[in-house]
Amino acid sequence: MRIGAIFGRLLVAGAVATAVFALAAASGILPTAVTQSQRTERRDRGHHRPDGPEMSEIAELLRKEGFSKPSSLEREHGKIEVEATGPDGRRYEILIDPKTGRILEKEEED
Amino acid sequence: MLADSAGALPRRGSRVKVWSARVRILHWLLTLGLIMSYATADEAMRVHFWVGHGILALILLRALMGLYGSDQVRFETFVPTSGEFLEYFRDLLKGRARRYLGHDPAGGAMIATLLTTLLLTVASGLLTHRVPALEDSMGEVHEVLATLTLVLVIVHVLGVSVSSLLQGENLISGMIFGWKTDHSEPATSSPSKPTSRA
Repeated sequence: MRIGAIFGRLLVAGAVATAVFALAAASGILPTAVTQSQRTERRDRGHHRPDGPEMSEIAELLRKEGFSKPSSLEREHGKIEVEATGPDGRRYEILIDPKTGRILEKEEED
Repeated sequence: MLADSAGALPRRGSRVKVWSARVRILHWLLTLGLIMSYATADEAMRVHFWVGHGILALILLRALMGLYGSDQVRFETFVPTSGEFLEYFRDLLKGRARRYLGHDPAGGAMIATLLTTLLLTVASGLLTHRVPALEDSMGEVHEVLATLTLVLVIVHVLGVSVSSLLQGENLISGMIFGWKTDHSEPATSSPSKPTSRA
């Protein structure tokens, strides 16, 4: 078989497999995949909703405490963990209670 | 082999229809799709996402044409082995590469490479978008592949431009209007014998 024919078969197989995945994901069959509407919802909720404050609110809270450049927002056991630069210019890992909006813990990053 | 295989066998030097409307429309839709996907990356993800699906459909169409289409678009008529590919470049350097009415081996290799990286780019983009667990890792892969595709497109355009100059024929207009000049020897000469180019 000429190389072009082999290439053609592989390309068709790959394209069909990708198309099948695309259709399956779009129809919501795949448990691991998110559909477009779910994704839009997730983005609208700021990825960390439904029961927590958004990044902008966290940033405001941290700014009042003298912290800047928050990043790596994560939810852990009902608390919010975020990294930010402290008044001393060092990076801190900060634990926030999402219900009260209070800083529970701050720990310098190593 | 990789002969000048136009459907009709016209006189030497006459104008022949090389690219069907189907293959030309597909080529320029793909070009449009690529421009749109680079323009919408990080900007309008919804559009980017659906343009990606469109590109996938075009790749699938081209792949099927490459297996079942006419001689001019079938992969086995123009995708070169590494030996044929290298030989073409050796001939090119010596200035005696023959003309091809369809894709020459360099063009054939580029088409195969571009279609492959395009498919991988679409597949990685799809995974990035659809599977949150893979968002970061596949996102990186997607970006690298998209950049690679862009580099290949630039090489493709350069290659076509250089070939156009060497052959004294505007290959780009060939892909727009479908016509090329047939310089092949009359049917009496052996078709497998390379025709020297002045």
